[in-house]
Amino acid sequence: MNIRINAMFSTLTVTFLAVSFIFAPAPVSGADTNAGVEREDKTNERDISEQLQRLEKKMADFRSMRTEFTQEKNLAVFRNKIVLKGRIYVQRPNRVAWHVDKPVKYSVLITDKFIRQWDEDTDKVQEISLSGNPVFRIVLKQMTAWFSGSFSSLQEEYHVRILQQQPFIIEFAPKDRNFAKKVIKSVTVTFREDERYLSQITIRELSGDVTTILFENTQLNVPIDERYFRIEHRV
Amino acid sequence: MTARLILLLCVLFLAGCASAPFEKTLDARVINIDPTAAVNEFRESAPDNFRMLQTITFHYGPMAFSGLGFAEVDTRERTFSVVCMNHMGVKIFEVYGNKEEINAPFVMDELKRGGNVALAVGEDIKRIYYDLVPAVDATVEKEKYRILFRQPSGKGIMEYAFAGIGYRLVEKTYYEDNIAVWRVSYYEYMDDNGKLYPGGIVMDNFRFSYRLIIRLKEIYK
Repeated sequence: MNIRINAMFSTLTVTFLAVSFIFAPAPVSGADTNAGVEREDKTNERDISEQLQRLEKKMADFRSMRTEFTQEKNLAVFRNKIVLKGRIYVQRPNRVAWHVDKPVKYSVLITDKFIRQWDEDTDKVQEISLSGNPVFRIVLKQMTAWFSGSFSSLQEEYHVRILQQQPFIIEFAPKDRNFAKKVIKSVTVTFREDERYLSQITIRELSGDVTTILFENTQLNVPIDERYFRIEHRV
Repeated sequence: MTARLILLLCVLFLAGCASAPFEKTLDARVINIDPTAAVNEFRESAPDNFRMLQTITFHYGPMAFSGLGFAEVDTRERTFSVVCMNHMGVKIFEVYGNKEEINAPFVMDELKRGGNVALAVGEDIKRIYYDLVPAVDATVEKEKYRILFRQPSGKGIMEYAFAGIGYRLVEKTYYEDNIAVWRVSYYEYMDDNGKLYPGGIVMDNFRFSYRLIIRLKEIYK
């Protein structure tokens, strides 16, 4: 039993750090099996690609971003929703810092070299190196794609639909080969009026759970204090 | 050799005395306290149906990690539902239980390798939230600051310790062959609409050498 607990804890540490990221994809292998879903209208696909590239261009001029967020999780089995509040800092090309302030304090930094996290309960900093860890590298790529607006790259892993033009709303549904397909039904991204950044992300899970992340007081190209990327203790 | 032995004893002593990160229950003499009245008063103030958000920290040797737990418990019907998430709100597992069985409709694949998580979580939830008062025929022993109740339970003995200013449940310990198998300690009780909720809970599983620290964050109406 001790061996099993040991194994479970090791697994959990890794799981909590990285694998559980919402957008974690599978290492790409094999082909999608659902031919009906795969047979996309090529014209439509081209149109979507053009739209995504247009949005990417609009978002391309920011080197840094900071925003406050409110994350609401509606669990299918409970009447109450869980609300998390915090801040996100993005520095291109590849640093994302995610700080939860309420109802708990938690910080995670994702770079191209490592993932590092801290939480107030354990008061410990844990780190996973990405060297020799291709799955985590893909996770990082996906995370930065969502927050940096590299949406074209997501077309390989997601079916994309444009739901609305003003404000612009896009829906991403994981393809069969995407690891996320086991959990996620769709991810809907809503843009701000000026389309320079996101105003909302909604994740619908197969279980019926729905998570909405609202971005508020978003500032682009502002200096970000280096301390927000240092996960040593609370910042 | 002696030095090694002393070092080993020190390590064992420190391991056995790992302190809880909550305020210690204040000492209150129990000599004039009626044990039955104390238990009845606690029973009246203990909620039998509640929903709450907590943080849960798992400690195992030098390893520790923390997550968010949303729990709905009905102690009268003996049912519970628990969803555990990481700090980014990503679901790790979902477990339900009733009188007959424990089910886990969702457990993250990575966690399944660790064994039957649903059963382990379900058992700990029952230990923590169910049966918070002793049976009427439990034996009673008074110490200076604690009233102890003991009663047979399964293959062993369940011991309840009531203490503090309000003479509330502060510890529940399960023994087999006079050896503590697990213990739940309750701290920092808070009143919410006339019902008492422990703000902090520590569960030590001595047999499997792990500790859970639970901090109450929100009580839902």
